[in-house]
Amino acid sequence: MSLLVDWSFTMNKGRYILRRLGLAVVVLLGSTTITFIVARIIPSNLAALYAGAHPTAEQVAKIEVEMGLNKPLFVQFFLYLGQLIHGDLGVSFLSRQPIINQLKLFLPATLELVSASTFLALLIGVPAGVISAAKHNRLVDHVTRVISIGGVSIPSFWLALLIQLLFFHYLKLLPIGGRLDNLTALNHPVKYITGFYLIDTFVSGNWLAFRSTIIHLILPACVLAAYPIGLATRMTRSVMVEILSENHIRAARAAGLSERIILFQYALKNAITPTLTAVGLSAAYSITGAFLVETIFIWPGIGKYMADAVLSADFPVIVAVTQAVTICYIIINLVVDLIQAAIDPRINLA
Amino acid sequence: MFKRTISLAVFLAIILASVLAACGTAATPAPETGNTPTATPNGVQPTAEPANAENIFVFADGFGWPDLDPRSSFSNDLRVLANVYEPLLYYNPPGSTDKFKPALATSWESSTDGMEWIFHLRTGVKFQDGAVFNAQAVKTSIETTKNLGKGAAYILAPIKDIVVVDDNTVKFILSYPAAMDITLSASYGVWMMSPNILDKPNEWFNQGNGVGTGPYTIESYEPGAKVVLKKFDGYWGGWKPNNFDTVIMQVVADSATRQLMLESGQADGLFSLPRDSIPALEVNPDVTVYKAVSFTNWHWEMNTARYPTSDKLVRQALSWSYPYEGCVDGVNKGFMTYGYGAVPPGMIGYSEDIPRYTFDPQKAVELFAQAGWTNTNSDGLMMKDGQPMVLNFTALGYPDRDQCAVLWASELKKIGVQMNVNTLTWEAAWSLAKSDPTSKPVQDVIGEAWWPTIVTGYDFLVSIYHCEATPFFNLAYYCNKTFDNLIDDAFKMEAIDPAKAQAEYVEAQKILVDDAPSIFVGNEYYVYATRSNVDGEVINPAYAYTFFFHDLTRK
Repeated sequence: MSLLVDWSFTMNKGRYILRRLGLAVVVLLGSTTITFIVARIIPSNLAALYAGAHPTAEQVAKIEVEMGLNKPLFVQFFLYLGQLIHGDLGVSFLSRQPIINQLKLFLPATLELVSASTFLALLIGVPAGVISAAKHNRLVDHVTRVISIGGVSIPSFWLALLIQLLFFHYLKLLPIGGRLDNLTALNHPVKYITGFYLIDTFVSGNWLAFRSTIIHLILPACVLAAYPIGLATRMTRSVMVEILSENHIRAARAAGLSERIILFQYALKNAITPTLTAVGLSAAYSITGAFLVETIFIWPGIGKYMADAVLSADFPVIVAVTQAVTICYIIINLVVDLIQAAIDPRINLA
Repeated sequence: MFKRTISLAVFLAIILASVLAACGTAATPAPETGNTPTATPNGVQPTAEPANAENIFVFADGFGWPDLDPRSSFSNDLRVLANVYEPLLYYNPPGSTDKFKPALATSWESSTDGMEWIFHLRTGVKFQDGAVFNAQAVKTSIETTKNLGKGAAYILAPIKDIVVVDDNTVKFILSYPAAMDITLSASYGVWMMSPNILDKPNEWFNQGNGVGTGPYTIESYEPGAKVVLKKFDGYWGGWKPNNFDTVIMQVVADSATRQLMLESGQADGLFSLPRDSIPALEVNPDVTVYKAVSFTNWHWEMNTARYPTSDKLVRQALSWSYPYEGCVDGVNKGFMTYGYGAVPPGMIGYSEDIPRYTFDPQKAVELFAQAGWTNTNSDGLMMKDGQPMVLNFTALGYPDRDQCAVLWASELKKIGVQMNVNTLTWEAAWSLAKSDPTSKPVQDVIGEAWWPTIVTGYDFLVSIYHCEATPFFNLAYYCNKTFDNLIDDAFKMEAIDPAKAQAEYVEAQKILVDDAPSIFVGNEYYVYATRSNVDGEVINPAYAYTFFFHDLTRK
């Protein structure tokens, strides 16, 4: 009997995932179309961007023909879709690099940073919210609330500059930025496997680079984690306060269960789902939203790549990064929904 | 319960392993400069000898390098390519004893009519792949760049034929007189390349490949992030013991971070500092700041195609209304010199005999009145035919230029002219400016700056003020055939009679100043900085923002 029930649940989950992926294709097509049109109607001169500092009019005209920029917009769009089907995201007008190659470098760099900050957010924010709710209206609660408000309010670039000044310039404890120190990079270069340095150095046994990666990850991850930590703390506290006043919690206390089990097994399980949703959305936003942190900490990520493309109206990059980030959003939302369904049996995936 | 315990144990084990690895002893007291090691699919082989911090120069660049193809490069990539490739000769900084410095050519001469130029080549030079540098290599390098027609190839237009006289002598035969010494010392389009790479596609170069005769090779390249240059042991110029074996050029977009890196020793050199940071760096004993007048000057072009700036009197009035002292000595805090005409100092065409407008609001008001602009309205603005004097200025987002624009707007307001300062990116502003100049959205004034591809006043005058059938860089939409004829002849005269060329350039610029298609604001300074333990010549305005790393040593 239990096997039949499990099989049905797995089938539901499988159908749910397939349905979401099917919808994702529609979302991707829509976002690609809108971004392509908007990027192309912004006043710019992509051929001149490609041509260099002081091109001649003839050179610019020639590049326009070579790049197909003189074709009607809808023709350019369908040619682009044709390229896309073959996995060709085009070439950046600003850097002349195949965009797929640059995404392979920049996207994992940002995802690594965002993953580290999200991990910190859940590791610190959720327990802080639980403790704050448990010590409702006491000193611990007040202090935690002030810190969490600070986390969501302080501009990330300001915090980044401050932390860099403190830990690099004055205390000389942590590096100024980048993913790795120069000497280690020269003497023990990282072999590209996934683009996630923590994974690549771990798998290849490059322990010096692994150590350097962790050290370089600390400051930018902490700065990027400030907002989601504050968010997680506030969301968790808010929901926990309500749940802790419910009858089943009183009953559990009356039954003599320990406070730790009540808080982290019974109450938190009910409170975690909205926090997961919020932190998940925050993580998805950080993929491009981290560009100021990436700039200050010399982190070669997708946010900075996209910001440069927007300032130069480098539309192939704008469209490609939009697609990549859309896919990330879809995957993150899907994963969050699946985790919620796994935690909360009341959630029906059908 | 059991599964949960196992999961927790695995999780803790991963954390513990990570912490233990992180707490392991450091290999070297590495300079902790931000870095992304090569993570291209090709990967990078570890260097044969471990790199040492002392012989590594870290350059914090504010921008990436769009095109590493020496045939088509025409942007910030100069900073990389100038260390990998070499031209036949270099243009020396202003104030040098000689105008040029021999590089791959040791001497040169021209015919009296300027139509033939002979270059005698340096012997015993090899490319980084072992190919021999000779006259045939010069011929094929220049012809390849010219035929490709990209980047700065247009500067090679005068060349009709290149003749290999012998292995070490090459002759350029021109279709019209031109100063080939100036052309072949340009910062783009004249690099000598190994014959083995001439037919490589652009993608090959932009994967970090290249073969020149220069002191460095490209060891690794991460587009938009980092270039590592390694010393070429067979470089003809030789090596001193304290030269830099390795150069790491790293993109550090944030100026505050660049400054911190320099002050802490994480970076050895940089350019492009915020003006406010310079005084603090100048008193820092660990840092040396270099300043020199550049070849970049400001041309604030006024729309001569549309009223009111189509009226010469209005343009002259605006020229008298500009707060030159406030901009040059105030906003730019001594990092600018006054402009005389359209050409900066240090090259043919510059002359302080060219008249200069000064800040004279009274004279401006008189000229406006002559043009019919009088009788202020209730807002205090000048009027003519019922229309108030309202102008639109396109700023390009450069802080110093934008501040000067705001200053000018405030001075204009005092005499009854309203100027709206609108900021656009260069791409958007240029796209707009190249449309119909008489249409409403196009600017009345645009705050442009220019720097030359070849070091001659002609580059400025032809690019910005020569008649254009459709607008390109002449965003004043100015057209004066007398002016055109003068400068075109002057360019040819540079190869035959430089004194006559200079006289013609001066005469042309006097016409320009009188017609006032631009506010000729002034000439920028270059500001570079290095650690004080770095020795060597740093600034040459002919090669904008470029460090020649072979010239530098660690003290």
